[in-house]
Amino acid sequence: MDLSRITINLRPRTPWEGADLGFALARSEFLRLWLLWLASALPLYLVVAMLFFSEPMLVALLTWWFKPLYEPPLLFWLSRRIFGERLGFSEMRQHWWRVVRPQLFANLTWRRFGTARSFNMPVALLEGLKGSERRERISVLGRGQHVTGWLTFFGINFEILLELSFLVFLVMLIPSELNWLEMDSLVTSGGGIELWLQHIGNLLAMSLIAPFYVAGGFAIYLTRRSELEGWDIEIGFKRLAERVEGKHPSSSLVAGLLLMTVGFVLPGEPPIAAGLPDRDAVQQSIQEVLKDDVFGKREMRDSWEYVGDTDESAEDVPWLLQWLIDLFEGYTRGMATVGEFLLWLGAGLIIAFLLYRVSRMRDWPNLNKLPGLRRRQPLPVTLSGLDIRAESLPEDLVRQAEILLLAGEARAALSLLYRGALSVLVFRFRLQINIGATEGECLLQVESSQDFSSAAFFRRLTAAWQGMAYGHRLPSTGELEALCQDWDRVFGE
Amino acid sequence: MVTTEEVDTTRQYEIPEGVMLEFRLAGPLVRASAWAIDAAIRAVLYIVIGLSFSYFGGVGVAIILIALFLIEWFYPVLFEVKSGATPGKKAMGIWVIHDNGTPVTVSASVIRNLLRAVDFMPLMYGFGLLSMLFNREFKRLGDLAAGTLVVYRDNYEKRSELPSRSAVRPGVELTESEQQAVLAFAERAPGLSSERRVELAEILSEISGRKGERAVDGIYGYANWLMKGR
Repeated sequence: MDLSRITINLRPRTPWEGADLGFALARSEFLRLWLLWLASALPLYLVVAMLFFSEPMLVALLTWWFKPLYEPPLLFWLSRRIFGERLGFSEMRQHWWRVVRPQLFANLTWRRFGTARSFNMPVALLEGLKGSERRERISVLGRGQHVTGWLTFFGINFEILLELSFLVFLVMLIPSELNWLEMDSLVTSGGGIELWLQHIGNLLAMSLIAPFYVAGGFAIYLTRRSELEGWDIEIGFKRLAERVEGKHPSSSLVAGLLLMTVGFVLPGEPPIAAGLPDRDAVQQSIQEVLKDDVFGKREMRDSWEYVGDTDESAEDVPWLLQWLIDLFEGYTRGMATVGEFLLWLGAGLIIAFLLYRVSRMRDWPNLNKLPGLRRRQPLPVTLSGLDIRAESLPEDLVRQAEILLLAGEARAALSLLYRGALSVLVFRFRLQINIGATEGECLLQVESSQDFSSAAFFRRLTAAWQGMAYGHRLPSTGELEALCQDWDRVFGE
Repeated sequence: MVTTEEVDTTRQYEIPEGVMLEFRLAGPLVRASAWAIDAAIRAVLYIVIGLSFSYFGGVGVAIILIALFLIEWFYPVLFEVKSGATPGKKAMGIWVIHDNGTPVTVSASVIRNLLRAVDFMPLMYGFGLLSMLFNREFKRLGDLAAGTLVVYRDNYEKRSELPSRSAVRPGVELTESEQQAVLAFAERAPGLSSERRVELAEILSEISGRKGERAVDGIYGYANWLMKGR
């Protein structure tokens, strides 16, 4: 075993990472391993399938049981592969029986139940150990390697999962209207095509996982041995020794290439003593690196830009044309001036008109005094259903009321007083009372007004009016006479 | 036939400053284990929620269904955004990062977890498994869409004590990887058999000029010099 020729990176790994290494190895050589597995397994499968064609589960179980028959060739092939040698098919055929035969009976009977098959196989096959030696070796190597059991556990699950996936995928792809396949018959193995598909699914799933399983176990084994025996140290020391002794990589090309990938240092060429590289070459490589888009790039873009007035016409234009241009220019300029004048005139007229309108506004001097001017509303003509226009009232209101009172028309007299009071408030005192305001609202408005001082009288009047109008309670004659006299005092001119 | 490709499960990313970051990708096996742990946690949650709200009639059913929806879709998002890993992933020592090594953001996490629906097809992550097995970086479809990686978390374990020897300067300048090999030897040699220890140490006889156990001591000296001698 010449470790310097190994083609896997033997760094220290956990067992889980070891399994990953095996998976990577299996992936990179999948096709060969797959065909190699099929070469052993397919004939056996066909024989078993011919015997029990209608029992795919039984066939799968039997083929699965005989896995130790097809796995050793994969392991053997991989053990050469990691040292850079890919055995051909004919070589494998020569070795086949020699590889498969050792301890075959044990492998197919009691050892078949072991969960560390992939890990123990190299001990028997590659180290050639038997009996108690093998047992001891496995007990030493296998310490803490429970991952091998998980590899087997998940391997089985992966197989089942892939086979079922294959069948379900087919069912999913075929439109259900065609009735070619039915889920139930796939599971319970009904007619012809379902059986075939189950057999194909069996084979596909097992053959797909097998390379990964074997390689995974093998890589865990390698990782363990590398850890126990310091393989990575050996490789590192050998490279160091080769470098110091000035050996050129005559021993193997692989080692040299390995070194290049690891340290970019060729054996026999101490990195520190290496001469300075050529200046021009360095410059050139710098330029090449800088060409990358990451370091910025050059690109062309077209766009318009104002470059100022360029008076090109002055020189090579005939004088006649120039004169015409000037004339036209003068004409347009003149028109523009007229237009501008008209614009200014129009603006001035509009402003003057507006000023005139403002100056003619009614109540101009009282603008600021009156509350509620901003929401100027038309003065009410009727309030609480009473006509309060000055025209509708008699000239001598109090006198008229007293006459009515004497005539026994107390109702009409009080009405007249109230109407008159509202009319005076609205038109003389300019009290802002909304159209449709009730008596109560009128009273509130009066009481909150600062211009009108005799709110108390108005309250008395309103109360008398409301009592009569809505409650049919006539005030006494004396009270009415008092109201008449007070009205004259408060509202009389 | 000789092959030259070196198989490893790392992914390298060069950040703009020219530093090379290396991520150790997590494969289908460890991710399936993490998923199984998360699935168990979710199952317990569902049972607890289902039992406690089943006594509340129609409203209880509504709450159960809403909780089911939220947990099924946002359980991974919540934990990934919070700490980069669901409890299952944390237990397995892996976490989710962007392709460029930065912590996973809400949008990427939402994308990779919404696409679980696609990975899940046709049955129990059939597509997701195939994608992980055959993608160079063990990505499932959700990872491809979101630009995320699932990698091993670097656990900075306490390095084991070096065998104490007087520091000796190596006769030659050592590159970084060679220094690492010397330190790895000093750390792990006490666990090796004495024959193997000597066998390894004697590879460097040309440099140390020693044989047998003295060669081992010589390399211990180099390691001590590398660690604290300068």
